[in-house]
Amino acid sequence: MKLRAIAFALVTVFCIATGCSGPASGPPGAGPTGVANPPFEGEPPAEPYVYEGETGVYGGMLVIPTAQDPKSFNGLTAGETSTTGIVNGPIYSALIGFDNIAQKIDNGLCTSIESSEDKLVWTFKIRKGVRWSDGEPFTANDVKFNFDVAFDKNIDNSVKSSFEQSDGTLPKVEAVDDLTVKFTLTEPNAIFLDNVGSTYLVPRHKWEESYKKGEFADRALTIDTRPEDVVGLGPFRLKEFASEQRVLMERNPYYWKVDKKGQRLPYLDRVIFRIVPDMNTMLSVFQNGEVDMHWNVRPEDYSLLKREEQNGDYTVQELGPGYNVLYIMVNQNTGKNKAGKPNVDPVLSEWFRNVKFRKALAHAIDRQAIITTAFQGLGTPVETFCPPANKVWYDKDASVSYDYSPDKAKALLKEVGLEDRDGDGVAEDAAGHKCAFRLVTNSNNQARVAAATVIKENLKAVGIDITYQGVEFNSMVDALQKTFDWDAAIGGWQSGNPPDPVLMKNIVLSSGMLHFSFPLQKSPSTEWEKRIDELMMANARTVDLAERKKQFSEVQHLWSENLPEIDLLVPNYFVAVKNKVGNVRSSPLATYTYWNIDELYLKK
Amino acid sequence: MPSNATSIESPPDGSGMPSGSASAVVNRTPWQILWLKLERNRVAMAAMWLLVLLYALAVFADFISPYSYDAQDAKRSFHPPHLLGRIHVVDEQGNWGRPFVYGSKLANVYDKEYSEDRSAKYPIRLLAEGSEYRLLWFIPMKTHLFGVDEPARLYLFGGDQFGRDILSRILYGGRISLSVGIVGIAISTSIGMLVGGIAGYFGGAVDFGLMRLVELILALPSLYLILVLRQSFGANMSSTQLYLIIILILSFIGWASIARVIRGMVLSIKEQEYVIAAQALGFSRMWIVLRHILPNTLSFVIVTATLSVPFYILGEVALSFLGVGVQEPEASWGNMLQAAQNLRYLTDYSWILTPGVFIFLAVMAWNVFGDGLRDAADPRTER
Repeated sequence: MKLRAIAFALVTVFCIATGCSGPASGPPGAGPTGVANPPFEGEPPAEPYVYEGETGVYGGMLVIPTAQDPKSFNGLTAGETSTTGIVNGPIYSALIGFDNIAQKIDNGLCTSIESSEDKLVWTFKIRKGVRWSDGEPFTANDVKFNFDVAFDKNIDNSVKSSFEQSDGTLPKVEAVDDLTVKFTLTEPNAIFLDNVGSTYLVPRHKWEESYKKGEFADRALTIDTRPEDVVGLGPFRLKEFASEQRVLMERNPYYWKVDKKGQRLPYLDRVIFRIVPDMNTMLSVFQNGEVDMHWNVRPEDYSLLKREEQNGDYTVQELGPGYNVLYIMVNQNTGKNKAGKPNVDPVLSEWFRNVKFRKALAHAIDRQAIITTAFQGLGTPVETFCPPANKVWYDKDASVSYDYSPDKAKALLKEVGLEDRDGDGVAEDAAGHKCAFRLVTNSNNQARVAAATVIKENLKAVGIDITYQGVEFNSMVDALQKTFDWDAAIGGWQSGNPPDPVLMKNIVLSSGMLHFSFPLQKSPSTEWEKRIDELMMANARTVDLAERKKQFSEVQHLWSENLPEIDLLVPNYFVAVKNKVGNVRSSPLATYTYWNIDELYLKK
Repeated sequence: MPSNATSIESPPDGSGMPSGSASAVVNRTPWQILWLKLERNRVAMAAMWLLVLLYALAVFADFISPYSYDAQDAKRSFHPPHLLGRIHVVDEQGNWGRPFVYGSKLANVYDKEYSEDRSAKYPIRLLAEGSEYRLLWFIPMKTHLFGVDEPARLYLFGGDQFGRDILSRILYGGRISLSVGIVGIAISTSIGMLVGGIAGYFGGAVDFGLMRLVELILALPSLYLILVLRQSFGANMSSTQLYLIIILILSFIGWASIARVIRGMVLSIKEQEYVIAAQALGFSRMWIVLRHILPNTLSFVIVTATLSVPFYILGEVALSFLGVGVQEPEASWGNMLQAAQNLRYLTDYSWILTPGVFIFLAVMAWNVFGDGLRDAADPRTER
């Protein structure tokens, strides 16, 4: 025993010795640990962004788990969290920043932001001396290029619709000089700055050519792009991507923030996003110490982790009701696929597009049962996509609530013409079509799978026969966004950041890319969708908060009345972070534990 | 089985040759001999009766189980097993009576702690009325072997995440998990015998081709092959289709090893005089294979088949455990264990592992029984 202890001590000493001596004399870029001056390049900007919080120490590697491979490395156009959760923040920066805790916008890459009296002209002064992660200077033309791309009608992205003005136009963007960008709007936009803050910039010098050739949407910044071509303004740059294993990033030596002692950020040498496709595995790799944070602890795992807090040297934090709304929806798409066949079976489509059918579903589903079984009781039912945690905007009184009542559901189904005519327990219409369809969700999310099990049983009780299909997350995204080949789906919303309704335009507008029940409509297919579109567009150009709230309450009313999707519940949000990580300021808004990744450091 | 009245007085002789025994020589068929030898192997017999019991439980699942396999109750999610100290015979006044349970209240929804509600007691009734079902798939009935009155619910082995009775699900799940073995082995054995018989008897290019195919299948790691085959069928399937596909996939993997051994046996059998006689009489080659050669491999085949039933049971368990086999809410022992993939559930609600006990029992029973059969079928063993 004693011998082994000594041997262990020797090994430890040896490791520490090499760990300290190696990098001190090593060449720049060799990955220093605990060195005062990591290999930064050039000088920080003349007027750098100064981070005022606690000063950290340099060195070390942070390992963050993530559930899927990124679908691309395109921070500008990506909408799916598998991509944005990895690249937006760590690799790419927006023109201005946002503090998740203070819920406040900061100047970010600008020295000043000015607007005209009527809020129609905005002028951004960029810091002098900011460089991209490959060393090229960052100028106003880069900003202009990004908005040209985002506003291009041939490029699908989630930025465009939030900037769209009521006349269908988009703001005019000009590079006045190298360091000045001017936006000209035709009407005030309530969250113009928030929108600018969620547009993550890619370098013009790398992608202008590909954009001019019309290849930007499909061929630029894919997962096959060489790491050295993935250039951004974030604190880290891509070093290596191994599919289904990890995304490795190293410090961006040109990063433009300094701390109050004048030391340049970031403190961390490297960041690894480890791809852990299974939530159970994610839990155990966190408990084993293989990753340093767990930014989405499931309610059912909360008490398990809490018990081991001391032993595991980590802290579990409950962040209250989350922003992640769980919903079920039916496919209301009336379009046809490439083969000329309708996206949805016409029989099903007729039911799905009938609001009474959707109300029947809302009454048939026992939300409380889902909360108890799938979320260990740690959740709250919701009426719309706007969760109660969003205190400014949530309006329960304006929304229609659906109590759990199989009888009401059956009555509504009968009005649609669906009842069990042959006594087999499944309802059919007058022509004898059985009310049976597929329900899809991503099978790596056990809570969604559990919800599907409860919903299947709930719907069986009212005569609807569901075939559950668990699929991979990215193939679900494909079905929802590209092939439109699905009947019903269970999904979840993560709130935009900040949680302003206008940032949810993608979801709410009938023309939105994420209006999954019937996305990308040329013109609204129903009256209520039209009205919601109007309200949302008006909301975006109203500056008065009280007026905006009134409009958004009506949206919540129309939404819950017509149920484009049936919003079910929000689980409470939990995170867990190793105690060795410093400056952690977790938030229930994306990206949870690492939104301030440039400030995080490892305690010595 | 034929009469075994003589078995106690006169030890049967396995070799069929006159022995030194003084008792009258009884002529027995090889099957009788097999049975007599098997009967003396107590462990094998115990295994056999255990199997009979398990299969009977599965066949009469809807009668024996108090609830349907998919009857959820969210207010009793992860209800602890009544068998663990929640069945009482003495009430609060100290009176003895028939076994009863108290209703339970969800005391803590987060940790799923249940307290007993002592205000009312619910005796466990035999032949209780419950949900409707069809006994043996055609007799409509409502009576269950046992149960308690509403609103209480009986969870002898505990409840799962959705408040479904684990005992009921095990019994229903046994229908799938246990029958997969029998049906699968019937299919793969038939294919294996046919292919092995043809290869061995016909020889030449046919033999060469078939045996390379067999080797190809044997060379691939079976779990991966199973998963690839499963993926190729897609996800959009009813539970019946899934069940059949699981059997098909497992049989597709399983026939190869049987075919190879049968071929070896056929190679030696086809030199036997009675085969040459059959050839001389001008029977067709298929007829000779099917009628004269394959029946002689039967004792071997039965033993091999019995011993490989566990492969099918475990195959279904593996597929369902990995989420590509039997789908919720349908129950199988494999997909019930899927819940145990969640560390938290495994730690706090360990009764969800109960299906594992049944898998263990079934697999072990088949193995022990198969072993006993092999000993009994071996002419060289006397006991």
